[in-house]
Amino acid sequence: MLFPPDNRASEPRRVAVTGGGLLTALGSGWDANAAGFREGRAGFREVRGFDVSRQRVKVAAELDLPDEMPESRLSIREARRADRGSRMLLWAGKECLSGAAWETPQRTAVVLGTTSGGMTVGEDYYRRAIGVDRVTKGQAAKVVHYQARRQASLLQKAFGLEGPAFVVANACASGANAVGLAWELVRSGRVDRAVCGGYDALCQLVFAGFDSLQALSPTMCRPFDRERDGLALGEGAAVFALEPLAEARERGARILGEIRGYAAATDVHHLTQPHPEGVAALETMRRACEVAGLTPSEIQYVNAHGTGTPLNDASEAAAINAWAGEDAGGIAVSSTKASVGHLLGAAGTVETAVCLMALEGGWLPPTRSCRMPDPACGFRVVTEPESAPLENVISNSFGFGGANASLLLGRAS
Amino acid sequence: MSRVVVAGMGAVSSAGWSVAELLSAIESGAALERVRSGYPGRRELDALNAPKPTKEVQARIRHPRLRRVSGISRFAVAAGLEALAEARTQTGIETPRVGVVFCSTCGCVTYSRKFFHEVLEDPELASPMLFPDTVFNAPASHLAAVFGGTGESYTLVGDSGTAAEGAALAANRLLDGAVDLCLVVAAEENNWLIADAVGHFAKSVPIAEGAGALALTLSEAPLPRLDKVTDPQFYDTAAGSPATDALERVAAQLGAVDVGANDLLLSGKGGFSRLAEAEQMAWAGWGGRTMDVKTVVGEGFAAGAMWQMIAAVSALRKGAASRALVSLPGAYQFAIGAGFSI
Repeated sequence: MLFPPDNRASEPRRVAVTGGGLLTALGSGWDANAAGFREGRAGFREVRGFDVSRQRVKVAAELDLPDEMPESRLSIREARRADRGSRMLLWAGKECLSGAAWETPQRTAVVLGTTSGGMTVGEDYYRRAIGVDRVTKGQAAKVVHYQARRQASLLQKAFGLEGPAFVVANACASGANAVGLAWELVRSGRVDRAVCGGYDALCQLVFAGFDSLQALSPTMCRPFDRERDGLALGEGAAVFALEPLAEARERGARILGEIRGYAAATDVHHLTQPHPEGVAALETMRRACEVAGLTPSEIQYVNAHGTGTPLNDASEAAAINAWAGEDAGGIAVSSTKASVGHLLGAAGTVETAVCLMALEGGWLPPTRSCRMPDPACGFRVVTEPESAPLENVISNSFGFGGANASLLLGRAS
Repeated sequence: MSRVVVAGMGAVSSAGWSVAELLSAIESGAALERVRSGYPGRRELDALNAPKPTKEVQARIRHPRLRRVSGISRFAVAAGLEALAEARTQTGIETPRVGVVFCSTCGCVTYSRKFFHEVLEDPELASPMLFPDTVFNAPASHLAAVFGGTGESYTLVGDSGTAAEGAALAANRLLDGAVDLCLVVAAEENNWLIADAVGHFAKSVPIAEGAGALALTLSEAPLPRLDKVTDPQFYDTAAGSPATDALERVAAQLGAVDVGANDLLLSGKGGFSRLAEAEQMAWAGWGGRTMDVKTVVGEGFAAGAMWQMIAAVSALRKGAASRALVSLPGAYQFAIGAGFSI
């Protein structure tokens, strides 16, 4: 029952991440990505998936999908019909669930974030619908596969996940919201397990959209650089397995980290522009800390939303400065969008993965393209790879429509 | 306090820009105006469009944010504000922490279609004015901006029953103490592209646009309460999992037993005929009264699910029922149900 819940914990439970899987332009899988993010490698190239010849900007962090599909319960026909976003999601899900090694089936909530869902399928449908020949064969299947919920259903079916599923479409905060809502479900005792994540495949509509807004960098994505001139798009997926920390410990699971806090708020300043002082970002960082019972002085690193647009980074810098106060100078900040671009609905989840990798490995992911940090940054922008003992980190995600979210993650101890 | 109650409602439909007009149309059962929608020269479906808003409605939703938005955002804002105003009257709370859960099946299809068409014609000339309003959460953002809501906001996408999932999410966030009042809004807008897509599955379903909203809060006041929202029950006829089975599981979870004379079922009849047949089989043992909403106002997907819930709550308010169950057979993927009582 979605409501009222069948179970509810008397006290909030601590929640562990016991599985993680991801694909980005840096590669397939946790280890390949950890190596890439640690070095601050960049994975951009000219887009091959659709025609960019008439676009102002032509590059993105496009990934190479494995030719085959992961082993799952999907039929050959279902697997063959899976769209690009679904394929990313299934690969990430496979790695995540293999790592979690859940042996007994249990009711498992699925919470996913996306901005575009099956948009590549929708685009294909539309091209045919208005085409001169007006091809109708295969169009009905495209309608089904375009549905935003389709990818979640495929993930559930592929890996036998029985339970409720939510698909959050909060623009570029979708992934962080999905992780946060899944965390709330496990923390409150409504479910004992959750699979959460985000995914978005590059598609022509969205690429052209950001290009039309002149939000894409014509040079290079340089978050927090004083000469930054825009963002770069990317694609990918990240999926996590969440369960109560106590149970994870009891079964001897590998614990990638703990989610300690989450908060969401709405910035009503403008549909696409953040409030100059980052009021909603400040609110989510403050409240995530309150929920975790931590102060800014206990946070060592912030994985910023850091898109590289002049307005976003200025607003976020103001928010981090205000949130950290006199502790700002001691906090390391970077944006991994310099490596894999802005993954939109997957951004918050891939950046959560980066935080977990950094916590586990004791390193800071650099923003190597930032050469001259904006003087508005009262904090230290990490521009070179470095080792650092980390205990608590924050991941920020902000989206169109003023969707703001912060996740507070801690090292498994 | 653990009772989640419906403190306010709002609606936009082909019957008009208010709950009163929606309910009046359902009660009278008279046919509403339909137009034909589809790609020129191809299969067309009946469509029920929202009428032009009156001057009073225009004044109510006048805001700089809404100058160039498409229908779905106007519908969502109008329904959300109507629900919020009523909730504030009912509860006396002026400035609680208000959350928003926005739900949609088809999303912002008008601007998405228009923008993509421009991209295909010439991406260098595609309008940057359109793109921001193509995102799923644009209506939720506009609504929050109009009433100044800075609390949590979630946009959920999926089959028609996503509106019920949204109600469950809102109820749980109320119990978590994350918000004091939560607007659950579902909206859709008509476009030839939807008619084209739906036409692959049904020859005669009347597609409808508009919005519905419930304002939920925690209260011990004698207001209609949300009793339950079932798990979504997935179906895949091609894979041997028929909609009838899913709807039977919904009926079982809703507790469709011990039915009394004051029990009311809000059915999904009037939408997709194949689903109506499955629903009829699943609820064959229902001994209470039944009310159909879609037969009058059409298949409004997530908005239509909200119209069913509004009709359920209205029946409870009027004393026409003491328990109202809502059956929501989704157009493509899952069935779900919600139960209300007073």
